[in-house]
Amino acid sequence: MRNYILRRLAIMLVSLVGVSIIIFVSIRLVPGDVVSLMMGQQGDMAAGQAEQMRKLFGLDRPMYIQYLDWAGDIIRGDFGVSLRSGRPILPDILLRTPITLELASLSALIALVVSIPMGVFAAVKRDSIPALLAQVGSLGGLSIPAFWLGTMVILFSSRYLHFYGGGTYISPREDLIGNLRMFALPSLTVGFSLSAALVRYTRSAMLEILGEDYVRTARAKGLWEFRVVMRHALPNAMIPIITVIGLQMGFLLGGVVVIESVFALPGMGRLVVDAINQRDYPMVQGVILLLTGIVMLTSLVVDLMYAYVDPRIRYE
Amino acid sequence: MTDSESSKKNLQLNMTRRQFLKLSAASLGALTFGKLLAGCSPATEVATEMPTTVPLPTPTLAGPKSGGVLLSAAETNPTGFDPHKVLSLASQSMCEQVYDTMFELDPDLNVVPRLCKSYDTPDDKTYIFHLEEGVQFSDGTDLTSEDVVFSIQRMYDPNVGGARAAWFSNVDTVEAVDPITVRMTTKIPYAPMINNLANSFNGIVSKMFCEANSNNLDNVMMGSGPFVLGEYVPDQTIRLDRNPLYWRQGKPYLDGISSKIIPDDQGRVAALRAKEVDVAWFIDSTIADLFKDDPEYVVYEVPVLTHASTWINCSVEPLTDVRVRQALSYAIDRKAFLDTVAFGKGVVTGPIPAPEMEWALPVSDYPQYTQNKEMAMSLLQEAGAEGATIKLKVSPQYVLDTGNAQVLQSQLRDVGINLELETVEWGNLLDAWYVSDFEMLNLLMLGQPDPDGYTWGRFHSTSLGNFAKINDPDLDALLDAQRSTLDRAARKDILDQVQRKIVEVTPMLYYYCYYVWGIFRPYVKGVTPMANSSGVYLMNEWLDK
Repeated sequence: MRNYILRRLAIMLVSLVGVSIIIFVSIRLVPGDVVSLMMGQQGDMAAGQAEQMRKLFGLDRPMYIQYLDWAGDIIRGDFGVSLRSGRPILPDILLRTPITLELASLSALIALVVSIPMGVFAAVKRDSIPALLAQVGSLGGLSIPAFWLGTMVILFSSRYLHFYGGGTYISPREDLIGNLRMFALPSLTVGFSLSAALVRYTRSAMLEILGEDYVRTARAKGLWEFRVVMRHALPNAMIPIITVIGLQMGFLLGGVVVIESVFALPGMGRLVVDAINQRDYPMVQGVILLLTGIVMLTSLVVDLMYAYVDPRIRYE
Repeated sequence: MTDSESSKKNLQLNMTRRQFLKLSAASLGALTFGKLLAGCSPATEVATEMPTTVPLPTPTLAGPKSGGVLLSAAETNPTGFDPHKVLSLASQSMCEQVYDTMFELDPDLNVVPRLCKSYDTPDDKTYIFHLEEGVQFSDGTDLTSEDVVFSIQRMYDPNVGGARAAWFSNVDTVEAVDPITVRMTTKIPYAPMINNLANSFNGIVSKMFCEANSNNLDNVMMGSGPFVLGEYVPDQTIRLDRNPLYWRQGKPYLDGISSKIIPDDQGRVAALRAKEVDVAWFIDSTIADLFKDDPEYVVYEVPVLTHASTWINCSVEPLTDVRVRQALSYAIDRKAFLDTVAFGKGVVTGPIPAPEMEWALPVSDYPQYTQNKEMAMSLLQEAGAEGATIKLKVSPQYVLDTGNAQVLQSQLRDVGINLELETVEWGNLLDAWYVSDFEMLNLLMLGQPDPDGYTWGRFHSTSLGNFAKINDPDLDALLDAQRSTLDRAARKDILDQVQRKIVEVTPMLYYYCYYVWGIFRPYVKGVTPMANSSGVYLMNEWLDK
């Protein structure tokens, strides 16, 4: 197991170097550099300053030198300074990391708590009306775009509950209730969308497992149906479910930018999209590198969990 | 009247107004009331002439009260704090609260004094600035002529990389005569100088503070303005606190301003509805409609300097022929652009945006602004360009730009021009604009501090901002003349000719300036919306609760 983890970490390192080169080059291939975007429509005013600014940012140097400088700084733990705001990048990323992680974790938790029982129920009582309703609900969740649901949720809560709560992050260490109030609406919105997919995966995985010989054997032994489902069927259905959650976590870490914007949550998604729109090269590189690292680690954790839920899987 | 005389007259009038304001805040309400009343009418009818300003909030007879924190919803993060380097409005809105400028613009965009209480122009290349006495930075040090000299030099120092260095490229010398007097000379007579010094980006910084921070103001702020930076958490909050040392007696009234950063329109609507903020601004008129009849909110309708327009590249066929460009101008009905794309919420404009009331010519002065399809077709025929195909670049960044492109395409089709729309990403569009890689290009253009920016900066053959590549010696001569004429009345005459000439030779099609909407809770008083989106009079706002 230890060798396996070390090997995976070594592969991760090589992958990160590859990713860093791809990010570095690709963001520079996008038309419109940071200076153009900074000047925006005021370009007629600042036209004479463009070259001066590029020189100050070091963008006039060959690309490989810029890369080597940046990579050397990263190895030393220095993510550089935002070209747009002049602020050091790492503190700005670290400021957003707990917000994104909390949103992702709470959404995943809500999705798990809702979807696994619903999916299991929909499989076990597959012809019942509640099971049908669960399926319809999950189809609705898949069909309704999260940004629309989010907008409806905030309009409803601000109009009738006089509550919005976005804009300012409240740390759980300072005020746990305030923190949970802040995350309640966005994590319910994201959790709802996420659970829709999980219900379907859980249901189909359970249906497959419930048809297996060993489940029939368990039933033939006279085991209580609840025990058959919870002890013999569900653990074996968990592998595809864990896979989906692992994949969704990658999405949740960087892909819920619309939800972050609607709820004014200052997370990583918003940071990276703003940075891309503004061509803030070091910020884009720093955030994507970090997100890539987190997603790779999540994937490693998911792989290790396979072995935990299914003892037949061994990592040598 | 010379510029010096007129500037002194301006100052005198303004001093009277300021004393008046100090004496009675009720008068402030009345002044505002008058301005607002004049602006009540344009909401239902399409405006082609400039409304004075905003609709009428309930006037107040009570005096301003000090105290309280204004809660606002901001759209984006500031992009740095260095007043001389930043370009974004979000940064400007912070800088203008923390730094003072030499001059400022009044609500009608006329230059009035700020740190510089008066100035003389012994000749047309020399300015003697007399500073207010007893002004302190928020760290308790005195603001002196040394700081002013340092700041002006910093604005065009190539090592700083100031975004507006070009505005000061004509400065020859700046020196401190005594602690409250600054002498500046320019290489040529340069009329935009005073307006440029009134621009709220061009704040006066502390020499000592800059030196203590290695001349890097990207992340620190300290000025002599009405507020000081309290806290900034990116993507979350900006807090400005009252500067207790502010030199204008009793100002600001607010103890502070706390802004939540909420990028999404619906998020800001929700924050207003939930009463978590006192004010938010919107470009979307349909959002303003949601609050218009709600007594719990006051809606301010403000015409802005940003103008919808199409750049024409005068160096590519068939647009090299002025008759083709004129045909485009005659072919379009600008009111239809305003009605269709901006729902009539704006005002048709010429080369200088309509809210620049001192300088803008009424659009009724331009014969080309009356749609004349026969004239357009005849001009195209003369130029041998009937049925020409022209490409227009546009970005989906702003819905107004794409809407204008579609209306333009439809109207030009009526005179036989085939306009091909090429939709490109925002950065791509800007890159194409900077190197004139376009035939025609749609862009919302921002306001400038001085008419020189709308005219010389865009269309002089030697200007780096001449992306239309126009080279017209007559226009150049007029542009140079307005730039070197310091007397405002004489300059206005030349600028009138410049505007007519620009419309005549058509390096750009101008459509309209649109409105923005400020939604306020009714207890926020003393609001002075500005067409240049400046919040320089936030120091006059107070909370009646």
